[in-house]
Amino acid sequence: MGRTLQLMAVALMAAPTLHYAAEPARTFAAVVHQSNPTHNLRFADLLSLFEGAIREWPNGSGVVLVERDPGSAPFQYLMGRLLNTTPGEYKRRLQNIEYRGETPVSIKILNSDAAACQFVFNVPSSIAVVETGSLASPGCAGIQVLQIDGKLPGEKGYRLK
Amino acid sequence: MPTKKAGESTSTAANADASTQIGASPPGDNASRFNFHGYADAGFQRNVDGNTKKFELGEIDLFGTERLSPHWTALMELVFETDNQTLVAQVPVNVERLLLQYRGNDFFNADIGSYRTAIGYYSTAYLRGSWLQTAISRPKMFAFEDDGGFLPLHAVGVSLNGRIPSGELNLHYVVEGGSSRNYGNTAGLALNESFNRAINVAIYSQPRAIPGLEIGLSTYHDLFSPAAGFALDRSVWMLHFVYVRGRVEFLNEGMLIGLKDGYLGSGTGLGFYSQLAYRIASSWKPYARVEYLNVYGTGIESTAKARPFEPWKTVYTGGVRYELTDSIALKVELGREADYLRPIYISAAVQLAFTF
Repeated sequence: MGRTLQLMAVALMAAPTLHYAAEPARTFAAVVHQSNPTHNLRFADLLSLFEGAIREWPNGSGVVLVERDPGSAPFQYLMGRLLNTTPGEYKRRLQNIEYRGETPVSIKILNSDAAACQFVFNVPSSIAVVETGSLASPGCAGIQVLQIDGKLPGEKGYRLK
Repeated sequence: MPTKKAGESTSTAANADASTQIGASPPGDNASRFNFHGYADAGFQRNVDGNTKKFELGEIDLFGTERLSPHWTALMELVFETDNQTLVAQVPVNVERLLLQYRGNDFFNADIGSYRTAIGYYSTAYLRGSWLQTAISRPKMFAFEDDGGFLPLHAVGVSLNGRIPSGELNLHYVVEGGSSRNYGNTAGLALNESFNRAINVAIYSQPRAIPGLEIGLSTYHDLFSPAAGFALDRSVWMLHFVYVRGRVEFLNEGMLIGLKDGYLGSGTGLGFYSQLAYRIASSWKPYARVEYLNVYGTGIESTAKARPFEPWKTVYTGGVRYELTDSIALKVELGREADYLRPIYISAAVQLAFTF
């Protein structure tokens, strides 16, 4: 009986791990408005944009960052992988920019990739990171997927994954 | 202009939790925007200045900006300095900054009013608002003017700043002209507050290829009057090398300060600090800092006479910052300080710092 319980406990503990391992690797895409003349972005510049170090596009228009809600995969990716930070540290960093007397970072938070795409569709100076899988949805039609270091999602060497 | 739809969140910026947002609508609109942040802290200190043991309410920092038009912003920072409070009625209120900012473009901006001098990095990056800085204590070279500090951290005048077209180097400039704080204030008699030609020029690079890296140099000059009848030529050269990104915070600043008087002679101070912090797990950030200062003198201001006025020689600080929530940090810190006139002492402090 004890042995059975032990096995059940091990199985329960392993279940989330097995589920995670079976999940296909997610890739993400940086999307901007169709009219944005930037088609290719360096990985370092993407980091600088989302860290608030770059707050203007080359044409002088202010960057609006579109981020997903904290529980979402794009947000987790943004914090954990792309920026290698935590929500708390990110908040401290953005407040620090404002505290230095610099132009504050403009951020829009949306709770679905479709809403993020729609926002980008409507606001020419915005940029969002969404899951690549969402790009096929009708909500993400009519926006531009940026090349990162010259690579599009799915190409070998693409870095947003 | 987008309309608000279901599913949109419009929490504001830096007040909110994780999802920091400043300005729900895209820039360029004419809407007035008010942003406010407050910073405060409370803690316990043992031996921090060599001989005390007390609970302490730190300082309350109220910071706000109001966008008046697409190009003009008003910025105000008020600080209630409760840290030296003995009687409630004696809490000093300090107008830390009061600025009218003109935001022309990336290349030209102007701040008019009471500003923090762009001397080095720490002066403009953290100085107040203990939640913003990783450690409990700030580097000693950035002690405030009214707290025995020798760097001119505040001035009233005009500060021009912006980017310099420089490609990958991503250079920025700051040119400031004004009157530094406390000019003549310690004179006692014959108070003479006049334009003291406080000029500061700073240049720094934030290389595009290495996000988080900043390397800069600043040179500051003014007439400094520590006592009635004295007007010393003061010059401050600062060099900084800073990397703040991801888990790492690596701050390094070097300082060369010179005070010169035709009669007294001259004094030179040479100092630096280096601070390294590294986040482990999601909430813990241990840090360590080393600080050093030495002075040399010539003429009447000989080295032997100048050294007793040197506020510290070496300081070693270590601690850890733990994020209780996105807005509250608990910090624990130990320090070891060596001065010329006092025996070496160990200090300890615990602090709860928060933003609201």
